Amino acid sequence: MPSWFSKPHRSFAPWALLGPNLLLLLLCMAGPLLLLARISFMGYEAGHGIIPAWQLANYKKFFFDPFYRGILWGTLLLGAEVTALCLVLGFPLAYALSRARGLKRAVLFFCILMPLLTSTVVRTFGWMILLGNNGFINHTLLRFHLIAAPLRLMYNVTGVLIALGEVLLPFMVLSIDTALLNINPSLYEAARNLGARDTRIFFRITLPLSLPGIVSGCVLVFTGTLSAFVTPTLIAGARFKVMSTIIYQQAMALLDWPFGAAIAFTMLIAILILFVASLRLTERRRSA
Amino acid sequence: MNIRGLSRRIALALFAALLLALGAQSARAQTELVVTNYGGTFEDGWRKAVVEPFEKAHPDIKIKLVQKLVFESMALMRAQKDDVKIDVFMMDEVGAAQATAEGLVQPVSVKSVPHLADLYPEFRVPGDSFAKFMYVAAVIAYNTQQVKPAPQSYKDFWNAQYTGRIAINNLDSATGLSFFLMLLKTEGTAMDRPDPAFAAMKQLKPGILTFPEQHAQLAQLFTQGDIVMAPWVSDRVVGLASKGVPVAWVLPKEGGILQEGGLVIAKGTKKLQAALQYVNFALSVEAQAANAKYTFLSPTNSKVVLDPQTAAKIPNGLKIIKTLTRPDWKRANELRPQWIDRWNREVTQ
Repeated sequence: MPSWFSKPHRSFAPWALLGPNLLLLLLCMAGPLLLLARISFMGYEAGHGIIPAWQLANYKKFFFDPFYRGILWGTLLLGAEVTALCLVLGFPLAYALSRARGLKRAVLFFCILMPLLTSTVVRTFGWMILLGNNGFINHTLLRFHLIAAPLRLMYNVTGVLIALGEVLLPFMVLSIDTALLNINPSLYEAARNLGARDTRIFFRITLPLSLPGIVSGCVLVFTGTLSAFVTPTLIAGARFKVMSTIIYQQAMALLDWPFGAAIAFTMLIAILILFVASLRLTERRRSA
Repeated sequence: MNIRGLSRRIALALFAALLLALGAQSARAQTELVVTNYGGTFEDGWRKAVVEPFEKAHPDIKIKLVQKLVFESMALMRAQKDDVKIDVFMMDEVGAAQATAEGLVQPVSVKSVPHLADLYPEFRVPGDSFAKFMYVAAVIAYNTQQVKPAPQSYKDFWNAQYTGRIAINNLDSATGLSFFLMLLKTEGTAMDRPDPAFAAMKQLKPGILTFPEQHAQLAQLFTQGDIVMAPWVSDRVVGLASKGVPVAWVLPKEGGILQEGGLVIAKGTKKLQAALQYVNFALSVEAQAANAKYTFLSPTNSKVVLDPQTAAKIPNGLKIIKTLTRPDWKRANELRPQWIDRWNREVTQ
């Protein structure tokens, strides 16, 4: 082993290990983000292009316009809805997964990962085939006279909830599964020996100890929803606008990069606030 | 000694020599010309109609196709101004005119691109700053089984019979913009006074199933029977019909809008000769006839004689060209941000 790796220069080793990653992040992430931040303070005039300046006009335009504020709230609400959906569906699944052993666990694990194995675009078009007015679901329900008219599953929030819930569910399940596996089984035995019933065990042991997994799962699903672009665009279309679709519209269709950058930054900061808040929540739990 | 090690070393050396030889040969013999195109099915057709025959005819030139949409191309042209990496860009009229205005293009001429002389005069641009190699028409697409008789006018979208079964492209897209411009015309108003058009859209709004932005979305909506009528472009309608979907296009009585494709040579290209040859080839009778056959792009070269089957399917010939109009794209693009903002709030919300 080289001498620098051992005692005398111990403090150097972590930096050496972090170095390549840090460099990559600085070059490919922090740099462009700084550039984006700079652009968000510039001006834009249609037909002339970007005007280099330092001004708050883009942020003002966003926050003083109820139309754009409405889109921000709508996006955050969608994030909360998808997160709630994934939590409700994901917890029982994660519980079952953490209890399964051997081949059963491997098969279940693979099934849960399945949504991540196809590209977003292909998967979304798949959902469109299933959810359309003449799609598989409506066709089947109509055929068996369970409904009188096709259910509106596409071109509204319902479809986005279903499609995003499907693709983000694995993140929730895997996070909670990890947390559940970390619970020492002897705790359950002890609780049972002391006469606790199943519900009591669940609320006093399983739920509190899996909270870090629940929180990280929620953060992953929430941020995943906020940054989703293809699914809302294709499934809901222009009728349901989210932050990512208006960023795209400003940047790509209107070439107004400064305003697009300002919206992107607003979204980034909103995510950051929620991220820090949720980390605080788990930290406090752990130290308490 | 270690025979296996030795033979492996020899094999490696041979392999390296082979690689070197190959590299040296390609470096000596071929010019690599980097050109953009719209990608997807368009690219498949372009490869067959233009790239492959061109490389066969010019063995010293190798074409590298990259996929770029118009606005990306514009940004790239600006960025690569001082060190040109992409030699020829494919752009619509608006993008090409913008690039010309910014001084980013290398103009062509009948001398450097002889086939320019064969184009319909309608497709020559001032100073030949770029070459128009195809056009398509903004049309009404309809399901031939469900919509009888065929639509005649943009007003037919307001027919209560089709409520909930139509799609109108979002104003972000070229198809949406063409529709909006035709709507201004239908409502008898001008670009600066769009109120009647927005009033009409507000009335139509509840009957619109969705506002697509991509051609693939419209294709799926028609294929699944979710919609029976939508504004679209001729080449895409014919493309979908060729897959067995019962759709056809019609030029409504208000007329149609030309959507043109141009090839723009980047100013400062290091491979000007090859770029000129490529553009000339794309304008040739042979390439344009093949493009019409594979991707249903209408020819700009007046000497192209289409086979009867293709001719029946796509807009072509001087008579049709005369009925298609070219709006004031410059003004439309200046007003587009306002229109989109208003559209976002009043129509799609």
